[in-house]
Amino acid sequence: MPIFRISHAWVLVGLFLFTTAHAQAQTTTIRGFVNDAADGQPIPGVNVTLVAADGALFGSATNTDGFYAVSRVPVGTYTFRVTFIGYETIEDTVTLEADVIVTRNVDLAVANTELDEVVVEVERETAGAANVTAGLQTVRPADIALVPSPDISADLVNYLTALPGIVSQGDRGGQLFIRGGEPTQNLVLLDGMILFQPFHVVGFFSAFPSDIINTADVYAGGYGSEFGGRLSSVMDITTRTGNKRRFVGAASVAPFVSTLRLEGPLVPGKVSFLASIRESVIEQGAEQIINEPLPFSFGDLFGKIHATLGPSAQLSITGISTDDTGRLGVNPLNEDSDGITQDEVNYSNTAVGGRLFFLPSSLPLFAEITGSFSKFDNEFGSVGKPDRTTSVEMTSFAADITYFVGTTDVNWGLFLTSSTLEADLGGLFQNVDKSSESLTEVGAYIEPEFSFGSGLRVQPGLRLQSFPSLGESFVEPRLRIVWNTGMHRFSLAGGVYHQQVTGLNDRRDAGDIFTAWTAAPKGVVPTAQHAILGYRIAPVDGLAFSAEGFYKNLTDLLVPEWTAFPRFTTNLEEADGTAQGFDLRAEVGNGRVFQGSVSYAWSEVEYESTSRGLQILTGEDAIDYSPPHDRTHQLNAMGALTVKDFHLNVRWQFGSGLPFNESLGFDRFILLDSLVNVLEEPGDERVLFNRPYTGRLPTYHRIDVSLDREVRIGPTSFLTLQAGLINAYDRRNLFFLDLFTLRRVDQLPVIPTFGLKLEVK
Amino acid sequence: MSRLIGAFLIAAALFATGCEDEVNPFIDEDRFYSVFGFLDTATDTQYLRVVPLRKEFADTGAADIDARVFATERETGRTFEWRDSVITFSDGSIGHVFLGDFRPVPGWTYDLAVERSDGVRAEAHTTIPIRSNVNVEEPVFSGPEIAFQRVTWSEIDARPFRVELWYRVAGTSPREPFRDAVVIYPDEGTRLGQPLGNEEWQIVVSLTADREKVNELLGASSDASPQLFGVGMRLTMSDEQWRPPDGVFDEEVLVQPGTFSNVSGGFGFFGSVNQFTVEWVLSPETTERMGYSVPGTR
Repeated sequence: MPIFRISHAWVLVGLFLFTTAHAQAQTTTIRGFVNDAADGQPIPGVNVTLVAADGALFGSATNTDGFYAVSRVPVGTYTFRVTFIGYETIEDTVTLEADVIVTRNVDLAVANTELDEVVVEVERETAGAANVTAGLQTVRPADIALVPSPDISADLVNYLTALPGIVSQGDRGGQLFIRGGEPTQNLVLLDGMILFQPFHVVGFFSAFPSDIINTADVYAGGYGSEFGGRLSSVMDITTRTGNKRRFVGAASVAPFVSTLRLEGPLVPGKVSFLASIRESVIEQGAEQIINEPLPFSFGDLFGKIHATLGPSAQLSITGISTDDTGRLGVNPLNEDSDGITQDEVNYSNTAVGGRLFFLPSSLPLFAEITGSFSKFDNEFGSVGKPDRTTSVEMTSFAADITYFVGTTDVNWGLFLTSSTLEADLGGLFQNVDKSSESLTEVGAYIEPEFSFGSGLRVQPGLRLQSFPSLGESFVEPRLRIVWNTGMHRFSLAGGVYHQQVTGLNDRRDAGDIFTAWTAAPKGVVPTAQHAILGYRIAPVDGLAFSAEGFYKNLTDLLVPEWTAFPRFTTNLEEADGTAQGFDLRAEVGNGRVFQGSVSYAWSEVEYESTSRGLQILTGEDAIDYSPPHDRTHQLNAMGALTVKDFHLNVRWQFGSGLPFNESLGFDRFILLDSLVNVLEEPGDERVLFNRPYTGRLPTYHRIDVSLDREVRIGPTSFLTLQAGLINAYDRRNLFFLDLFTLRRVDQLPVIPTFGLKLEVK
Repeated sequence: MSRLIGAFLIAAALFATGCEDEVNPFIDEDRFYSVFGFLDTATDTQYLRVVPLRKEFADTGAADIDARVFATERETGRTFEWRDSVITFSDGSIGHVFLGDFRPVPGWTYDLAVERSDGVRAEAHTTIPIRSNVNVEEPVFSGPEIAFQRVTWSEIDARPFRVELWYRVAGTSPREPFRDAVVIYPDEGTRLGQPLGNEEWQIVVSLTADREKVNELLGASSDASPQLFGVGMRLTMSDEQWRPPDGVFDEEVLVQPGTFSNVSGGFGFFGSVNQFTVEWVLSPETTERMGYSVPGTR
């Protein structure tokens, strides 16, 4: 690691901050939080402007925490205006004095009590199916509500799996592959806390029910310097704060899950809580409907306390706990007399964290201090006697600062993470038997965002990560450029990414989602370079198209060793790879009557193996193959129609077949390495594989439909009834085919669903 | 709009019914057997394991096998049909081992055919290795009682499967006037020899280390001094095809079907071995220095 380069970088940062602070001597900053007057929720995307007497305009928009800052404003008197569609506009006069930073918080009142649909439209200004910017897609609850779901309370994962470039295993397993990446290469953050496997074992559900979400920023690649430690993607999810004015809540029942949500003020107007609990009821619900065993159960518990400490500070404490149990695959070596596999996977996440936002009175900056503890446990094997267990504990502290300098926001931060990674893998899994590792990571990043008057925003970044105990350090340059010009938006993103803490799993067996987390071997740290180029056009209101291409270069990946021994787990070997593709999206409608979107994604993921066995077999130095998550074509169509208070949601998904290993059959292998007595040597069972992943499973497609209606049953009480069909035309989609028994495990058949939700708003 | 959605649903349903949802996990190829075995010039009965390829993982260990095995001697045109035998192995599995009642001739080529009743065949051939020239150097002493002797075989490009030294002695048992104490060289380090280039293979005979082993094998006390009549070396050498990729029998690599196979229409390997021997006599001086008695002296 060339230390002098890092030193130079920080010297430049210091000089930059010093000179910009000095340069603002005759100007000042106005800043604050914008919340919903009804419930105290922060409102993202609100326009805040200052208009001078001579017509000069200064402005900003609130971020996901409802924070805004307008800086480098010359002293003087201005018209201060806060506008957001669907809310009453606030207009006032402010006088700004030199060197006096003004903090002004605003509560916006809804303009019309019957503007539910308008709110949808508003929320879609910065979100929407065709609103992707250099890999970033912002998802809001209103988007999620468009997707048919087996649960009356929608779930984030249902929307994610409808996005182009995101490949799921289907309706079980809870694994997401984003633009060629593996599930363990996705960074999932909930209010700044890392969650290792927040997707439930039944693929319709995650730990993120729609009604606890504020926004979810999904970076399918090219993410900025604020994020690191993963190769593929980032899902940065922020949750709502509880209602600060009154107690509200909801309870629902459906064939898969029952939910309860409560929220309300602890100190009216200042401190609120939000709690949500969900528990699967598959045994009593869906299993009875389809009359076949669905050996899954899951649940999650979420809680958040949010406090406004004063006009310049907010504190939130968030906790979450999830647990999942399921029997996914088929293990012929571990079946009972009925041929039912007894291998079971269990996993659980526990995380708690705090976030403090504050605005120092004398500095034009926004500071966020985060501390969190995350724990992940995973077991796999016979019921009650797991063969393999793994556990990760991670404690993180981070400081993220945004320094406002005129049209430039200088984002920088420091982070410290301490992890304990433990695994007991029963001797035959990924070269690891028992292991216990402790890892410390320290680092910093800087990422100024330069805004130019022509709608051009340039965001170069640099991230430094260091693992002192491993003697590894990485410098990762990043870049994001967005240019909005009229109805057009051009975007570009790229960067270098490393993943020191690696999830090991055996992707050959779709039923085995066990993941052991460990530190990558020294010198073999998985690395990726991303490049994304995007274009979006919105010619008229309610119509948008976007196109985006991506390329990811992957090196030093750890993939299962190629072997003909019928092991259910195996050792690891290194591989390089590439992922490339593009997606096209179109969205029409404004949410009032009809909202629809269509997306198509093409991608190609190729790994390159230098396994000696494959080299000998093929005579090639490097053998290219498509890993089992390489879905070449993906098509999604969604439509939401509102007629006479009935909401009809339809989604159709299509995916071309995923790669799988074909074989020539089975035999026994005897290693003739000496004068072997074939009368005595029984040999070992062998699968007669050819090249890796030469076959393609059948295409996947399915249509889901739901119809719901909300009925007012009291002044603030509402009852929602939902009916739906999952896999409406009963497509026999394959989850996976067990090569050893030729037994296929299909995804869920057609399932009629009925849901009931009682809500107090 | 609802009409549009209805039309979309109908189109999707029609599309769905036309989609294939079955999957065939097997590549259809004309390969039906795996064979594992070799011809050995040291025995009159040859053994060959024949494994029919299966489409199910579970090995039912069927007692019947639709296979006949033949070996044809190219030099004479004679064909030997092998006998099937059903073996229950130590792990409980059942397999078919075919027995061929003939002794192969060094230098001759044998064509193996495993034939199914419908005529499909898996085939392989092997040429029995022939003994090459050998040079036995004079013993070298690196100390009063530490001696070794280099034996160099020509036209050998790979490590032998087995190296045995025999020491022909007398005077250890009244019932057996002459006995051979056979020392098997372990497969470690360079005990099985190493290549010299020009396809020469050199084995270093450790007369000193073998001396201790001989008394042990004879059941004699360590200070016993049997008469040594001669020394011999037997080398078990595989045929030219029996060479693993990279020169290493790495199970993890060779298990990959096709990485080490000479069977057409099937998998596995069919080879052959021959024993090369050489005998020599140590000089009286060397014999005595190594602690043996010289025959004819007291």
